[in-house]
Amino acid sequence: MKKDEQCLTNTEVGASRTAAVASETASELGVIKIHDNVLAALVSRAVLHVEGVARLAGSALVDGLAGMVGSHSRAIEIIKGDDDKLVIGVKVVFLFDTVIPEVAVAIQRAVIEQVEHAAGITVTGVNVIVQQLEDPKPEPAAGADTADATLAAMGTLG
Amino acid sequence: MEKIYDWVSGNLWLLPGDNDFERGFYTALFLTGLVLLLIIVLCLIIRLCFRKPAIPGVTLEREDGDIFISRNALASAVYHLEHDFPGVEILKVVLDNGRQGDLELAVSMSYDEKQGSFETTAKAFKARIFRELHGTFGIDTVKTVALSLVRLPNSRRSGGDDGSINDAFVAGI
Repeated sequence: MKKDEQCLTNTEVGASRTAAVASETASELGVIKIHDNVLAALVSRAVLHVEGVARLAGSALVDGLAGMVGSHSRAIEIIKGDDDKLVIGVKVVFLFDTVIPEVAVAIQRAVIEQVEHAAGITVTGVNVIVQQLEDPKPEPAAGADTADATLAAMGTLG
Repeated sequence: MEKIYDWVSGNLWLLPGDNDFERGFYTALFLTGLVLLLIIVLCLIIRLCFRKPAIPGVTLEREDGDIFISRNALASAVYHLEHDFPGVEILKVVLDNGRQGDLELAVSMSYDEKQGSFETTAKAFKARIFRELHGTFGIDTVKTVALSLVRLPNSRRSGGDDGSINDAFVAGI
């Protein structure tokens, strides 16, 4: 895990720092601050919408606890450069039988587009870490729905 | 020796023995054990210091950032191939540095020879791994795939029915 994190920090952003507030814009009307958690939510949404992605890496329990204390998923790392541009690192679990470079490039584009469109922050790079591969979760069978509906109807009638 | 004996008898209140000879014998036994323990610890330390650092994965550079494929992901893909090769059981997958600066994927496996010739299966398996590496992962830095047949399946459970089949059967390809 540490090596993966090292890989993230060894990117082109030399004197970067992890910040709680990812972006701060001041105007005559006031200050707009965009928190890391907001960006993480945007990134998470963009990543999970890409076909071939199973889920973000990491434990749901740990992420849940992190959410309770106001932190974001450990699978997403937001590194702020000196020029207010961001490098985003994201650890992902892919599905088997996907062409990984293609899906990873799709993730990079989706994240850049989402963050720049929604938050107006320039993203200079998205580092994708393919942590693991897994089988897609089996979808509930159509027969099961029918059986449930039948049981529900029987219950209603009874 | 007397000093060591005095130190041991002073520090170990439970040192057995009724006479000097017995106490000397147990002291020697204790010291031998201690020296052996120190040698084992020393060996472990030396091994830890000089071991090859594990390769965490493969990095692909792209325009919008790096794509890092972890060794776990590579190992999962290799394990997943078991379904397509009956009789093959993957035991271990290791990503290592090759001899010429490239990467090497070492796969330890067991094979049930009832399914056919191991050589044929190994060739097909290797070709499939390369196809996965190039096609699925876009990795072309892994130049060597080393397959090692480290044991035959059920050899432990067979209880030695066939003397020729045992865990020491090793074949590298």
